[in-house]
Amino acid sequence: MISIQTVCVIDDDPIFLYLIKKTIEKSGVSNTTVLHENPINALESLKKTILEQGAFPEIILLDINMHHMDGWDFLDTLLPYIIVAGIKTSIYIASSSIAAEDKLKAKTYPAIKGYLVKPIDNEKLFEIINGFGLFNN
Amino acid sequence: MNASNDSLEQKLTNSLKLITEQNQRLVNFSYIVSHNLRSHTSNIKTIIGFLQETTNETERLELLTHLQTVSDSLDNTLHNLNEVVAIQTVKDLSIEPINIYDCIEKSIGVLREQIELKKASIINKVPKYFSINYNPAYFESIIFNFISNAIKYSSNERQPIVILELEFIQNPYVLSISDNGIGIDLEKNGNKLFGLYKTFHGNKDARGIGLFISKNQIEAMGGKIEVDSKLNIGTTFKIHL
Repeated sequence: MISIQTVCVIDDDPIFLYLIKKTIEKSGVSNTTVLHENPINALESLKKTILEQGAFPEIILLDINMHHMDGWDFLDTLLPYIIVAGIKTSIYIASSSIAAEDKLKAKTYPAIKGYLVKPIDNEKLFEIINGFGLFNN
Repeated sequence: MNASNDSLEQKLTNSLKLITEQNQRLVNFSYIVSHNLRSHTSNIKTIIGFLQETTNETERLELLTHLQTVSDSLDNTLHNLNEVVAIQTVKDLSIEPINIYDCIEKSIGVLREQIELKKASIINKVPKYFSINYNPAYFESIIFNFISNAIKYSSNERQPIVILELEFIQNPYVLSISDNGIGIDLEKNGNKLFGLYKTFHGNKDARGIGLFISKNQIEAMGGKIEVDSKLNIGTTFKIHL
């Protein structure tokens, strides 16, 4: 199995963050899990990593419906930095929404590798790690 | 003959519009229910999975605490959804004459603590002896909601001022609620403003459900709501009663 350095999870539900951290830790797929409850802070932190040429997370799990800033606004702000810096990262949407509208919108972003409907169990996690595009669940 | 055909066609067009709107509301609502319940049930499912695996007592207790939190949030979500479901159509609603001025004063009284905390000034410019026919529970809930939102989303940079005015020249009357609060970027968030698409875990997004309920109550009474807002200048809601 492929193991990776860092997974970054951005979600405003603290319980989900607690659980996804546990899921990732127990699965042993990643060494570090970075959690962000506030997308604005997450944005600042990731932008800083890019500017300081630090280690960028290989995988980002992003919620859509968040307070302060939704997932789409988050991506629209972050993506230009990622593209300019030529950073390779896999972004996955992790949402409770099964609305076709959201899935379709996710497909319009080439940077989004897949759309995951919560809960995120081991099976989904392994598929992400193995780099599958997940648009069909 | 032609005139009556035209009027029939007009009636049909109106009915179609009404049904389309109602249908849209239902579709929207089913997504909301699904999304809001799923965010909790998926947490429950994951917690239960961990609970079945764990042999560590500390971890077990920690998981149980989280399960309790999710259970409370789920209960809260259901309560909010019930409130939305409870909104009925106008034909089932009792209508009474309501003194608008008094109703506003009553809400101000209930919100006194928050108003004093923010040193806000609520200016009730509605004529004192003016009544309209409305469902009393809806009217109270609408007024309360808009005043409480105006206080909640006030700006820290200035003294919050909320002005309630009635424009009664035209029919239907229009009640406007203006504030000098933080405002809303309508271009960006306008379509989400009255929607109920957000989760309400943690009950942080009171505006989400509050505005959604108010809009539905106003529409159930046959009225409509308009909004005008500028970021960091303020917001005006106009309720067509």
